[in-house]
Amino acid sequence: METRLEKKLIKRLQAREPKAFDQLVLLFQGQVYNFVFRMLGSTAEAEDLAQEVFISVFKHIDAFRGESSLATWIYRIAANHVKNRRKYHGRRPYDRPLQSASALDPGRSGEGAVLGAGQVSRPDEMVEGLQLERILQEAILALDEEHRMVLVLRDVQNESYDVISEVTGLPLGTVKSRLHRARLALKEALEERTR
Amino acid sequence: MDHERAQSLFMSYHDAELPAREVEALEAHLAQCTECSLAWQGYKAAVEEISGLLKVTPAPDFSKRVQQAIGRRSRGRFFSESSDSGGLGIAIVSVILVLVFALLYLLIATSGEVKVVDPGASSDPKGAASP
Ligand SMILES: [Zn+2]
Repeated sequence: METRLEKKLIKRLQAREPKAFDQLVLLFQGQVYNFVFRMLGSTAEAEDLAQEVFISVFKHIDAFRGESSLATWIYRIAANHVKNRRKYHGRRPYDRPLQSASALDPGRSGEGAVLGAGQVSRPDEMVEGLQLERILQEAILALDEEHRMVLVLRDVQNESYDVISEVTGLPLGTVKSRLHRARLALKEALEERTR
Repeated sequence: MDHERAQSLFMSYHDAELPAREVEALEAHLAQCTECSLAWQGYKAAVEEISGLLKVTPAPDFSKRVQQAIGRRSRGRFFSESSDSGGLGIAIVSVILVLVFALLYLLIATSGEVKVVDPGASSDPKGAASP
């Protein structure tokens, strides 16, 4: 459900207030960009798709009825874009160029910047961190899309089961069983690669 | 409790959603079963590593570029009209025009061909008669 502040923002968005659009992007760009990046594994594609997500949000803002929170509604739009992009490309996820978040250069324009919970100061730790990041991202991309989406929403984006159920349109039980299978597959993949 | 049952409880156990009675049974099993204990450690580590992944954010000018893209696509009208279908409309009209011109060209060309063929066909007997 939407909060009072959210209602205000939506009204301003529906009135096409440029500042409100700016605010919306700033508020949700991290959520959207990180989600699409983890789903696709490429910063260039993530940047492009995140932009399309916001354009869709602006185009359809009049249709937003507040039946879910704004964040959930935006997630749904992002999830649809991810699915459509996969259909359009018709490729398996691991066929596309893989990029780990740590490999990005925050200084270059047009590329993502990294805010690191996992930032380290020692070079040997950094190399280890980069390897783990790459292994993890590869393992995520090796999952099929249904399992990947649930895993990314829950374990990367830290969303509740209710939100995931709303975004994916799946019953809670299915969300949980998919997450369990995704985690087991990821555990296997990690053990395989670090063996 | 068997291994399969124990490992099927990992998610609820991790989410602290397992009833106390089952927590007790699972922990008792983990304490005496190396296989499940290792599996549990791997499960927990995988979830922790995924949750600790870096949070990626777009470049600082992302918001500006979104605004510019909206401006371009709506031709400065902020999607007040369905600008996308407008663009599509122009594309469809262009394709139809090209097809109409192609059809006209074909019609003219084939009617020209008939005229060219006709004298040739009538000149055949003449040609046969000339030597
Ligand atoms: Zn066991």
